[in-house]
Amino acid sequence: MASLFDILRVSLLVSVSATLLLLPVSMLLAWLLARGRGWWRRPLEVAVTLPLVLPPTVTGFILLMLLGRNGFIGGLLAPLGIEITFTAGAAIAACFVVALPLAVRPLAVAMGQVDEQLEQAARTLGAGEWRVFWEITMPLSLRGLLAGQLLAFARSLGEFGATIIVAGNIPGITQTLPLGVYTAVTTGRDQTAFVLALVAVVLAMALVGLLALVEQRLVTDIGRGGEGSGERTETTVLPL
Amino acid sequence: MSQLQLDMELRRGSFLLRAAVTSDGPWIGVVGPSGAGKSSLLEAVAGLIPMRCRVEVDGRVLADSSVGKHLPARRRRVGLVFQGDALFPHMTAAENLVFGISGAPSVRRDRAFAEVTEVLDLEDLLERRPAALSGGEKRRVALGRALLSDPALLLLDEPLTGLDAALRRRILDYLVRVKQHFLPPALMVSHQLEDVLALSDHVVVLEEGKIRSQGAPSELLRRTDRSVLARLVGFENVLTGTLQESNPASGTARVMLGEDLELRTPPTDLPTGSPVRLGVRAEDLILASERPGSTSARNLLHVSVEEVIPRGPWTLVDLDCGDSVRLTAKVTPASVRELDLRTGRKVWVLFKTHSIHYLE
Repeated sequence: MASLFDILRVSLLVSVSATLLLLPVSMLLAWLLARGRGWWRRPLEVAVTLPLVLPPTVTGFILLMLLGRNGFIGGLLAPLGIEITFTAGAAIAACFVVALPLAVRPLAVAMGQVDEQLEQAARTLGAGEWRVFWEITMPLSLRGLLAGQLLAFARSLGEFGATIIVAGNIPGITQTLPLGVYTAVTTGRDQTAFVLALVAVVLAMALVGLLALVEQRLVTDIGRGGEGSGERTETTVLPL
Repeated sequence: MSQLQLDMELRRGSFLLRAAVTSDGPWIGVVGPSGAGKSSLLEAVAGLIPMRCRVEVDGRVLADSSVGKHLPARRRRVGLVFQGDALFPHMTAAENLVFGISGAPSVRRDRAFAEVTEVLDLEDLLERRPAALSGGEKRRVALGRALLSDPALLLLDEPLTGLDAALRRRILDYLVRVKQHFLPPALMVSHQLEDVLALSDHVVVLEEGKIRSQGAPSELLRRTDRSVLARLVGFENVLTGTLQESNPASGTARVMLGEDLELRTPPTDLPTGSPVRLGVRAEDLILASERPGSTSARNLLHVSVEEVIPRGPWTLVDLDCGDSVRLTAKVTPASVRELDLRTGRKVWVLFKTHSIHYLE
């Protein structure tokens, strides 16, 4: 069993990395879901939502098959001497997949509520799609983005099922906070379990507080009663 | 004064719109009831919605479906002022204004910005977000933003709709200032003939995708089918004249139509010499075969019947008042027989001061 410091270090490394990787990916996916017109929109939505409804151990098992030496992705990386399974990389991949729906959905909802006429106006003023996205769509969906990233980060911190299957429970490498609690309880170290649980509760409260703050700040900052944003203030960013 | 030429054809489902318009001045106004195709026309010119169309503005082809050409909106150089203003809510008025300015900062750019903010009185609004602007202020910022993008064509979607009378007057003044100061060619769309007449050099009356009538404002009023006119402004008769004198004590004002036709209208607070536009309903005109004696109606004209048009329970009688002023009266078929109304017949037409309405 790793030290409290190691457990926190691994947990934060894994969660922060997964969240940072989710940032650009969720922007792209949310935009495709909010503005996409093709037949592929539905299937994409289903794929993005799937990790939310699958048991995490199943997600972990699928990842193990994909990332393993003989798997689709693992097989490509093996000749390069890269092995992902049972490394911190695998733990990051597990968190990334499991937290993906939580990062994408609030952002997609927020983008869907951005008045398309504003985007049209930007185009008539000479803005290309890239500028429309970064200067109109994204700033007006900021609340959804931050909420999604926070939820994804929180989900990553709590990830257990997929991680233990694809990354194992290796002290100092893949043993995150939930795995540490599991190990402590199953090996009778009640005091360690209690300390870890306390840390988890404090972290969770901090995150929930931050989420509330983000919502409040953005609501007062951006266009209260302003056109096109009026509706946004009434909708919750939580997708569930 | 520059010219503006518009040549377009668009198809949307079973709807077909065809318009070839050449204007002597830079502002074209399109008027028509909802469903006439006004919005489709703007969308096609701005390139906002993909549709089968051909759009040519001043010889520049913006779209031609037959050869698969559709210039994207950002390359069309159209400054569209949306009906709902479409200001970016997360930016200040100043940030909204400069959004469409392209290229590196330059003296020319700064001068354009200063000029637009001055003409539209935007100085005090620059730091505010749209949520903190009134309806009229938003409209002005939206107008300024479109102008600053240096458009080859300004598109105005119902620029005076949804404003109360006082505000409408003020925005109209600003639009006139924009027109005089910056002279951008513009295409304006409205369901109110008055708005269009006030600003345009060339007016197009659109109904169900067809051009019903078009021409310079004064000419258009003479030529447009009276029933179409009535649908657009609520009056079959729209007369343009000059205010001579308003005398609230006598309860009347004098308005000259052309050289020697004078009307008594209700008093107004417009200054003497103002051009005015008056509306009179066809059913408010009374026809008489002999000159009537003393009546309470202040307006009495000796006119000749131009045409008698039966319309079911009604008959419309077009009257030539001289000085190229025409009036249309609505009478019953019984009156037509009794007064022996036919083309060329001389009759007297009389109407009350208060059946004359100031349009505006």
